[in-house]
Amino acid sequence: MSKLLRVNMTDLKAAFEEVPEPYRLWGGRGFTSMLTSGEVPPNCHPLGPNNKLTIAPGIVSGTAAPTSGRTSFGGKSPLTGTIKETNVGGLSSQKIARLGIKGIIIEGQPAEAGKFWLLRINKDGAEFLPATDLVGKGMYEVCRTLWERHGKGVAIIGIGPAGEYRLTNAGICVNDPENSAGRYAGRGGMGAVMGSKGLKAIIVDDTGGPGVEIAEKEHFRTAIKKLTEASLKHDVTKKEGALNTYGTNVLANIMNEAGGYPTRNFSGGRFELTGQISGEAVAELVKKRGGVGTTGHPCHPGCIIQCSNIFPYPDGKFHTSVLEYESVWALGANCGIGNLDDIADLVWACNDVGLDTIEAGATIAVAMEGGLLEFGDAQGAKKLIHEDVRGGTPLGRIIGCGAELTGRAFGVVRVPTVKGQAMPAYEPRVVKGIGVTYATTTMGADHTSGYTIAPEILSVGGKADPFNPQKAELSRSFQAATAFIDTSGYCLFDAFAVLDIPEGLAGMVESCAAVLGTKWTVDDIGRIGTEVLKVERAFNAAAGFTKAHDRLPEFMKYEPLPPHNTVFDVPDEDLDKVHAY
Amino acid sequence: MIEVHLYGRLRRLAAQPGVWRPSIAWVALPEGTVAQVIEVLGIGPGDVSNIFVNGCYDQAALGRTVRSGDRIGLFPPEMRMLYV
Repeated sequence: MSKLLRVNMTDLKAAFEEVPEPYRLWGGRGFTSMLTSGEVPPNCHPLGPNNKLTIAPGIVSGTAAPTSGRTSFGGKSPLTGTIKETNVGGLSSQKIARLGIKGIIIEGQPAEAGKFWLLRINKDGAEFLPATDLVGKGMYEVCRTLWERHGKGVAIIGIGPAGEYRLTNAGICVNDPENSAGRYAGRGGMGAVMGSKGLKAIIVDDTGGPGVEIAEKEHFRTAIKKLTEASLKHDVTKKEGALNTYGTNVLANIMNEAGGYPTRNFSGGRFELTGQISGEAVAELVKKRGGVGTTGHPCHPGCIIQCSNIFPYPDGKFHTSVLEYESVWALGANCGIGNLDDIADLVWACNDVGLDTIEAGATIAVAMEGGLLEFGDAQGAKKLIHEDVRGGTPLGRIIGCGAELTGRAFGVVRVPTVKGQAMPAYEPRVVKGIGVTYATTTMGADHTSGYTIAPEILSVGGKADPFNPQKAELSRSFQAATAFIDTSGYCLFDAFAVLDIPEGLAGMVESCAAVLGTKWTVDDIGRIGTEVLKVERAFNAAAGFTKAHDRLPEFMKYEPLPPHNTVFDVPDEDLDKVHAY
Repeated sequence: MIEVHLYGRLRRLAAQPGVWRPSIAWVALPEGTVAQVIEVLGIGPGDVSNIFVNGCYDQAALGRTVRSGDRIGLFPPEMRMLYV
């Protein structure tokens, strides 16, 4: 039977407990949101003693299901004030699940401010160790040191200095198979929540663990075969397909051609240097420079899509992993920076200091607009992260708290946030459906909450005209389907294949059902996803959020975006229809 | 002139190929269908996966008429992020 691990940071006690019935069928986001809804007061201060950080592998994580190594982190977000779930690949999900743990609940707060601990979890239980010499260290060093001390191959979940300072753009890092600190549950400042608990890192060793119990093994094998076949067949996800060859950053040229690639703080839809920061350019440099450079790299064992990369210095030595679409855009085009080596430095700096790359890039771009530095000033941007945020200077603390706070500090009107969280790399004035998702998701501006880009630009899972403002229904169904996928433990990129190949979708749901011993079919996806959304919406409502918060920033309604010169024209009534269940 | 932006292996047909700058081919037709324009460049329908006309993705773009001043974006099959 799987169990819960409850960790109390006030009295440093960790104990296993039975999984209460209401949580039995949930994993991933479903679990973290149900737990947050059940145990966290919606009006609590996100960095205070009453918030809880909940960690959960997905339903199928730790099994032989392909591309299913996502770990969800949940609680109340200090960036948005809403409920939050942010998930990540890397090593943690499979190992937590194989120890028979459905969820880890971190609660309370150490009496002594500024004191940090490590939590080591293995088959014998959980113990606290002082973090002493790791306090203040960046995540690359933390990962290196913890492998030396606790064995090669253990999973590490940790925070950099940004999390220790409780900055609202601090993410939670998970190491990858090479022990690089490149995987982030970045969004929503959950690293600050971990920091507020006095927890520097969690070490997970699954050696000798019981593994994941599967209720119907034969049914499970059949189901994952269907999903694997779909994934290996689809043009987007197959071996040597677009994601495997170029990584997610294949999208740079595509979104730029579509005129929806936000440039220089969302003041344009095309960046003149996109070619040299695109997935094509990354692939070419990786090949030319050789050494450890890799495309088609898996972020966790068992991924068959392998969209990640290891980007090398000109001499072939490790520079950073991963240069993916959102990070390259945020710290590149959105800041007017068009050099991949500069962008790789910035991604490395965010990974080390412990910042979400999307929010960090959006924040620096807002600061550029506010006159702190010029657009295109890569050296200035590096200094902000390496020196100011890392060193905890007053300026670094502003920058480390995200785009909205920085916009206020510098008197900027063009601040691309919803509910306090910065938008990712799709322009809502061009791709209207993603704008509807940004406005209405429970998470603040977030593309992964309802990736309408798939039908609007990518023509996966049906067709939709990106400029047509009638997108309420499309966004609603994508938000529900996403909530289900985030619960399953499967990577969102599995969706590209399953949205087009019905057997793959069936395989995804049936594999979850086989693990849990339920009779779920594809008809249950919407119901299960909607149940998650309703609980999240109720939490947000109790925390004071209304339909007035389900809106894009005003400038997007009156400032036409070149080259299409369109504005965001989805009527407010349509936004309100998205969650009118 | 019709401005054709080329990606992936189609870049080789540009005046100055390479990923470091836009790979553009100029087609001196006052007017024609997209199919006619790409034929001038020696590109067959099987060599492209996705076509944008003036920044708008169009599944049926090959039959669409374009004029001097229009911009076409062409992606090869191995960049088939846009699934059709």
